[in-house]
Amino acid sequence: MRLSGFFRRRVQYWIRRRQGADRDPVTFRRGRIYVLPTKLGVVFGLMLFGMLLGSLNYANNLGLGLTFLLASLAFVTMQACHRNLEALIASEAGTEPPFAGQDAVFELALANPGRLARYDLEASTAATINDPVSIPAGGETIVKLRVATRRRGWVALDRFEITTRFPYGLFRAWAVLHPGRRCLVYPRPADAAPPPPPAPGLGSAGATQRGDDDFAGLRDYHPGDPPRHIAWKAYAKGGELLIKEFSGAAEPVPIFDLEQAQAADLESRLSVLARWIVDAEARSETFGLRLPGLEIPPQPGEQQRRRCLAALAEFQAVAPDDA
Amino acid sequence: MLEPREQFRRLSWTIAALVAALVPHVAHLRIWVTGLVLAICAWRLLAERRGWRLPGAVLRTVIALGATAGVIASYSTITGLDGGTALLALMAALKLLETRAPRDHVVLIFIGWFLCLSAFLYAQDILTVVCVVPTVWLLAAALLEVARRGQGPAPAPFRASGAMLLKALPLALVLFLFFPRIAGSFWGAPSSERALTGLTDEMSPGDISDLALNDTVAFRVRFKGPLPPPSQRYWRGPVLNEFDGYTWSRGDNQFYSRPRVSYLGLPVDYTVTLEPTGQRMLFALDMVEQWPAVMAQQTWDYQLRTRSPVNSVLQYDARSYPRYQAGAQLSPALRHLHLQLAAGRNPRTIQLARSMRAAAGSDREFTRSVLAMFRDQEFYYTLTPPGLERDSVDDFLFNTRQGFCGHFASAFTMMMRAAGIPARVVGGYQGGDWNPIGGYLILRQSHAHAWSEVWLPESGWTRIDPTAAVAPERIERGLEATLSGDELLEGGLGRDSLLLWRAGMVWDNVNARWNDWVVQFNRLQQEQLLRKFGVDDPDWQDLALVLGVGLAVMLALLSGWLAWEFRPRRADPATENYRRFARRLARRGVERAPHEAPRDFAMRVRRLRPDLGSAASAITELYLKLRYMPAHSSRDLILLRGLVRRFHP
Repeated sequence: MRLSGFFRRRVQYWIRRRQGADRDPVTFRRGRIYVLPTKLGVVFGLMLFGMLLGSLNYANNLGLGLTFLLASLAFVTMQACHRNLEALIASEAGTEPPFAGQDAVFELALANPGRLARYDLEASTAATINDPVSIPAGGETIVKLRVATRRRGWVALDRFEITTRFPYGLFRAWAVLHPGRRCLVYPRPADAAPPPPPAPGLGSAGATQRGDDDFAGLRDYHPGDPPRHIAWKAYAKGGELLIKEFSGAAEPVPIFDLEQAQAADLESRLSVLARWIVDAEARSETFGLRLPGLEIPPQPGEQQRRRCLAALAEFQAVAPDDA
Repeated sequence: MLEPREQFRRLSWTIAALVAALVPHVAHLRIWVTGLVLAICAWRLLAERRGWRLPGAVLRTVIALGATAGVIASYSTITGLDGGTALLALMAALKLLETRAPRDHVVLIFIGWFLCLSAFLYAQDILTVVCVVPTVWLLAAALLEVARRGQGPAPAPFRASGAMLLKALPLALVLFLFFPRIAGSFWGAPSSERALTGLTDEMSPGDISDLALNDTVAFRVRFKGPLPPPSQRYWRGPVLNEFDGYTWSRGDNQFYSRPRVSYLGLPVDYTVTLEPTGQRMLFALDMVEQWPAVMAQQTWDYQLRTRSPVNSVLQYDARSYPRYQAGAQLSPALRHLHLQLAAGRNPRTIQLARSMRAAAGSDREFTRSVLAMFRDQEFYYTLTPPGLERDSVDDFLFNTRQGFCGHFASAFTMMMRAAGIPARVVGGYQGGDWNPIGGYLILRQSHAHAWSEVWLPESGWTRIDPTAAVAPERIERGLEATLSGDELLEGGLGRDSLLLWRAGMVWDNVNARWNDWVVQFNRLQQEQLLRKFGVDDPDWQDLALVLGVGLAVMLALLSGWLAWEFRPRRADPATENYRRFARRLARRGVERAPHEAPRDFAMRVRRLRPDLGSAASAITELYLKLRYMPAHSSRDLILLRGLVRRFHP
C-alpha cells in the first residue's frame, strides 16, 4: 500500500532519522528494507479469510489445505520480495550537468553480488518512477535517476527509493537511500540572444598569438581541438593525429564578458553568455569568459565549454539546500 | 503500456489458468454455462489478436444481467453451491471482457483459486486433488507472468512458482495439522442438487437393480470386534411405509412415537465412513443403539436421519445389537398405516394372499407359505428384470416372474398387508466386501438391497428377506454368486484376476486412509496427534502453542533455505586467495585501498615492509596471471595457494 499525505511524510522522516545519511556505496542490508502488502495483497488476504471461513464452516479439510497453502505461498512471496532487494549494492556513478529546465541525471550503479537474478526493480525519486530493471546474478546495471531543474545552480538528490513488487505483486519491498548527491545546473542558453560583440583585438589581456591566417606548424592532437584543424593528409601518411597551427594577429579572440551581455537581469544575462559559449563551441571557435572576479583565458573545445558554463552556473548561486 | 504481443501473452496465461480451474466443474455445471464461458474466452483471445474493440459498459451490464437471470432460471438460486459456482465462472468470463490492466488479470487468477476451493466443496476424493493441484500451480505460474511490471528477462514461470509452492508446503502442513478446527458451522451447509446414485426415499420396480452393476463405494465400515456373519449384515436405510400400487415411498407421516426396543445379546461396535449421498440418511446395522446424536436422530421406524443432506464424507461411530426385539406393542395408528393398500390396485395379488392366508391357518405359517411359493415356483432372481405394468405386483407375480430383491420385497410386503399382517419395505445395504489389506468392510452400491419387516405379535417387528428364499447365496456370498456368466461379463463385476482384485483392494484402502486421515481429519485426530507429541490431555491452548512453535520452526527453516539460495557468489579461487593475502596484511596495518591496483599495492607493501616485498610481489604477479592471462595452468593456482598459505606477515 502506498502511504499518503501526512502519514507518508512522517514515515519518510522516521526512516531518514533511523538510517542517517548514506555513505557511498550502500549495501541493502536487512535493516533498511521495508515490506508492506500492496492493495492486491490486501485483497488476496481478504480472499484467504473468506476461504478460511468457508472451509471451517463446511469442515472441508481440503479447502482448508488449499487456504493454508495459498497463505503460506503469500508468506513465501513476502520473503522472496524482501530477498529480491537484499544485498544489492548501490554506488554512485556519474552525473551529467543539464541546462536549467532539463532533468539532472544522477547515474546509479546497482550491483547484484548474489547468485540469483533480481527482477523488476524500480528506482524512483519524489517525482519520477523509472521503468523496472532486472539484474542477472553477479551483474550490474546503471539506473538513471532524473531530477527536474528549474534554474541554474546546484540541484540535489536527497532521497530515492528502490522498490520491487516481485514476484506476485502482493507485497512491496523498498529501500530508501539518502545519498546527498549534488549536480550543477547550467543556465539555460537564451533563445534569442544578440550576437556577441566583436572581439576588441589584440589589446585585451590573455589573447594569444594563435590565429587562423598563416600556417605555423604541426602539433599533437588534444581532445577538444577543432576537427577542421586536423591535418588529415599527415594522418593518412603517418597515422598520427596532428593539428595544424596557424599564427598571425589577424583574428581577434573573443572573451565573453558579463558586461557585454545586454539583458534585463542577471539571470538573463547569464543565459545570453551561455548561448554565446554554446554557439562558439559548436563552431569550434576559441573563446574565453570574464565574470566579476573571474577570468577564464581563451581556449577551444569541450573542456573550455564545461569550465565556462560551470562558472556561469556557480556565479552568485545559492547553495542546494536553500534552493 | 505493454506492447500488444506481451498483452496477448499475458491474456493467454490468464485464460489458460481460468479454463483449467473450470475443468473440475464441467461435470456439474450446466452445459450452457460452460459453453458461454469458453466462448467468451475464445472471443476475448481473438479480439486481442485482431484488435477488436471490447464491449462497452452498457453491453457488459446487459450480459451480466442476462447471465444472472440465466443462473436463477437454471438453478433457481444464486446462493447455493451449484448456482454460486456457475455465477462465479460466468462473472470471471465477464471480467475477461474488460481486462486490460495487470490488476484485472490478477483478480481473475484470484477467482481461479476460488473455483479450486469450490471444487473441493463438491468432492474431496483423491481424483479431485490430482485435478486441482496442477491447476493451483498453473494459477501461480500465471500470476507470476501477469504480475510482472517490466518486460525484461523473467524467471521461468512454472519453475519459479513451483519452487515457491514447495517452500510454502511445510508451512501449510503445520497449519493444516494444528490449526484449531471448530465443531459445527457458522452458517448452513452448502446445498447442492447433485444427482448421486444410491438409495433414495422411494423405490419403484427396477430402482435397486439399476444399482446392481454400480461398483461405487457407498460406505466403509471398520469393526472394533469380529466381523458379523453376512446374515446379520443388514444396513438399515430408508424405511418405506406407503405403497401406491407401483412405488413404495417413505411417506410424510413422521410423527409417531417410536416403539420400544429391547436389545439382546452382544453389541457390535463399528465406525462408518459414509461417502456423500445427497440424502438425509445414515446407515447402521440393525438394530442400532448408539450413534452421534449431534449428527442424526432416530425416527419412529428406526432410521437414522440427518438434519441436512450428506454432501461430504461423513464419519460416525455406532453400536448395534444383531439380536433385538422391537415394538412389542403396535399402536392402532401404526397398524393402520402398515396395512394400507392402494385402493383398486393389484387385485389378483390381494385375492391370492387372502386365499393363501385362509389355507395357512396362522400368520407365521402364512409367511412361510409365501416364501415357499417364491422358492418352489418358477421365480427367477435376475439383474435385468423386465419392466412392469402399472399394477406392478400383479404383473410380477403372474406374468414376468423375474425380479431383483426390490420386486420380491415389494410383492412379499404387499401380500402380508393384504392378509392383514402389518408390514413394510426396508431399503439399505446387505453384506459387503471384506478388504483384507485395510481390514474393513466395503459396501458398494451393488450391495443395495431391499427386504421386508413384518410385525408379529410374538416377536414384534421381524425382518424377513424374501430374496433369501429365492437366492440364498445372494445373502451369504454376495451378488456375484447368484448370477450367470453372461451377466457377470456384461456387468464387469467379474474379478477372475486375483491381481486385479488385489489392486482394487489396495486402491480402495488408499481411498479409505485418505478419508480417515485427510478428509476426516478433525479435532479428535488433532488431539491424538498432540498426545503423540507428549501433550497429555490436550486442550485449545496446547493446540495454539504447538501451532505457534511449529510455525516458528518452519519459518526459521524457510528463512535458512532462502538465505542459502540467496547466498553471495563465491569468488574464483585466485581472487579468494588474493583476498586472504590482503586480509593478512590488513591485520598488520597495511590495508589495501579500494582504488588501489594490485601492483601499486605490492609496491606499497615493499616500501612499508621490505621483508615482505618479494613474497607480496610473487603473490601479486601470480594472481594477475591467473586473473588476466589467457594461458595459465592449474599449477599456477596450486603455487598461489601455497604462497598465500606460507605468507605470515
